[in-house]
Amino acid sequence: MQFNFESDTPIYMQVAEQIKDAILSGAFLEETQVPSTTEISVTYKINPATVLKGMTLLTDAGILYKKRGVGMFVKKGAAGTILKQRKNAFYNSYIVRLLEEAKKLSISQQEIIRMIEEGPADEKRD
Amino acid sequence: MKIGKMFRWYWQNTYWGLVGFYGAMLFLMLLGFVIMVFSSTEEVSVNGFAFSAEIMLLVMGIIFFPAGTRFGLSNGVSRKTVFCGMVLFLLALSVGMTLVNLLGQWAGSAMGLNTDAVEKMVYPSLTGLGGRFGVIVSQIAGGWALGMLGYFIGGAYYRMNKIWKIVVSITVPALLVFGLPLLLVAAPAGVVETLGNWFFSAIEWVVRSPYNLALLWLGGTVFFGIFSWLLIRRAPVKIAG
Amino acid sequence: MKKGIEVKELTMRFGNITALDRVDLILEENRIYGLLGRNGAGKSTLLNVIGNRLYPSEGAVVIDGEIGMDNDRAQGKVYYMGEKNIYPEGTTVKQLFRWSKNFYPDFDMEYAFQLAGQFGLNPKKKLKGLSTGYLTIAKLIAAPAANAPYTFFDEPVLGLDANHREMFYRELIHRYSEQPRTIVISTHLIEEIADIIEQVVIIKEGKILLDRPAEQVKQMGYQVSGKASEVDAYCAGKKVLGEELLGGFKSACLLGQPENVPASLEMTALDLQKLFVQLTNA
Repeated sequence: MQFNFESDTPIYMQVAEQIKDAILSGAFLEETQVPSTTEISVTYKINPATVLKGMTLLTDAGILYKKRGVGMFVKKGAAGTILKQRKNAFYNSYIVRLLEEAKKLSISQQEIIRMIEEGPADEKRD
Repeated sequence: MKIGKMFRWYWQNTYWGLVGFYGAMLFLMLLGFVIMVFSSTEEVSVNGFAFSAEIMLLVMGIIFFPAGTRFGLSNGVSRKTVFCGMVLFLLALSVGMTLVNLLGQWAGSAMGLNTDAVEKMVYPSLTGLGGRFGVIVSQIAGGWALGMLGYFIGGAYYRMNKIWKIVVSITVPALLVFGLPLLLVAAPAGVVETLGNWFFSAIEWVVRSPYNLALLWLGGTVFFGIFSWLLIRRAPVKIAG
Repeated sequence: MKKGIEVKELTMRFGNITALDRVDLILEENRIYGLLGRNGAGKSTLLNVIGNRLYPSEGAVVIDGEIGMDNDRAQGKVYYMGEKNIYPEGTTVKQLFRWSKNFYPDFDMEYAFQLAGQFGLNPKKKLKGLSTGYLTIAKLIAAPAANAPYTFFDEPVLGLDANHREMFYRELIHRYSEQPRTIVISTHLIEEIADIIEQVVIIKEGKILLDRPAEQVKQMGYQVSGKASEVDAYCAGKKVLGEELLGGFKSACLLGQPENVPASLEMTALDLQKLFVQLTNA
């Protein structure tokens, strides 16, 4: 996990996003325990209350759940939920903006599709 | 109770001083004994137990104002408790030292030394334990008063800033050594005579009974106690210097 | 009984210098506070008054509902770790622990010795024989071990090498996570504690300049940089904290939220240290 203390995203949200990344990548498997607030706060030198806030965010979103006396666990289906969320976010932040920008530059839908089919510049076959 | 804890701290820091003090006393007694045995002196006097104890208490008082204030305040102890602890400790120390001195005097006379010449001079009519009791009480009171005086002096120096320290250190001794005699010489004869009479009747009163001396000492304790309290009640923690 | 420390209209004067000027502050239970301020701003004075090392000229300190000044019971809840060495000559580290235990009965001896081992401090050594760094470490160990509900650290990492500083922060967080209490850290090393503290209190010339949650403080300002004329155009009418000019390139620190920053200007966040410097420079 990495934290960017310079960015203006609140740390507790960064904590939540980083845990989601780890779940998505398979580092934290479903129905397994995630590191405790103490462990995370000590390792990254962050206030425990901040870490707790991030984890609460995930509990409320149904990504984590608490086993009393044991700790926080990854909920079954969490990876799927996160993927769906991220896909939606992808659509909103990238696709919508792409379409808006394309409209400004008068790029047609066919041109966009052709650009996508061509793929990234370094993969272009000449 | 925190007062007990301060008391313990005062004791722990006095312990080695006492060891040194009584070590020196023991040495002097042995020296006196040796002189007596190996010379043809009829009587060797080893005195001043009470006086030296009082000086020790004076020094303890001076040292403990800054040290105790700093330590106590830095460990969550109130100034009230630091002060009351000191007052009780000085009393306890005075009682303890007086009793140990008594033992020392008894041991000394058992060795053949004359150990109570001073008391015999001031209170010649006292013999036996009953008579001696008054002297013991006055010695305890004396130690307590000197301790309190030391505490006051330590407090005054702790609270004063550098300039005042220099001014006081020079003018107070100067006033006592030069000022007082000058005053007596310059004052009108009638005043000097009244003061003299007053002074001598006071001495007469003190010599009449050791309990009177004890009362005088107690007055001193109260006097310096009040001023010490005034010095400590708003005292800050200051680093040395 | 209301828990917490309340400082009411606290004023501290030394001769004709007013070190604290009618300060009002609340320290809630179980929170980590960062007390920031320039040299001489009044940080140490404030902590010293709360900790009964100084008696205030005016005002009051209330600890858990009772008057804190010269109060044995209330002061037993406050542990102040500071620069001054108040122990008599010849005191060893072990004795420092023992005396702390005497006056702070919740002192955890085992924990203290464990930390001493971690930091490489020999408990048998005399305090006066320790280097600046190790003397600080000795005091740094006694503070959390004392388990006081209100623990103040005044310049806790003075003289400590980077490794020991890290060790201290991690240990502080660990202990706090398992046994929460009110902690106040007063330091000049703002960057190092910026993410450990929950509330930021800035003192300037004896007065409280700012008292807000750390998260809020992060969002308080931002920086824009680029061509000087464009920066000036953007800054018009906005609260500018400070500016820097290098040839035709200008960088400005602003208070508030960024609005419609033109693409030609670069916008960056204003971290706690930068914000602090800007606010206290004026």
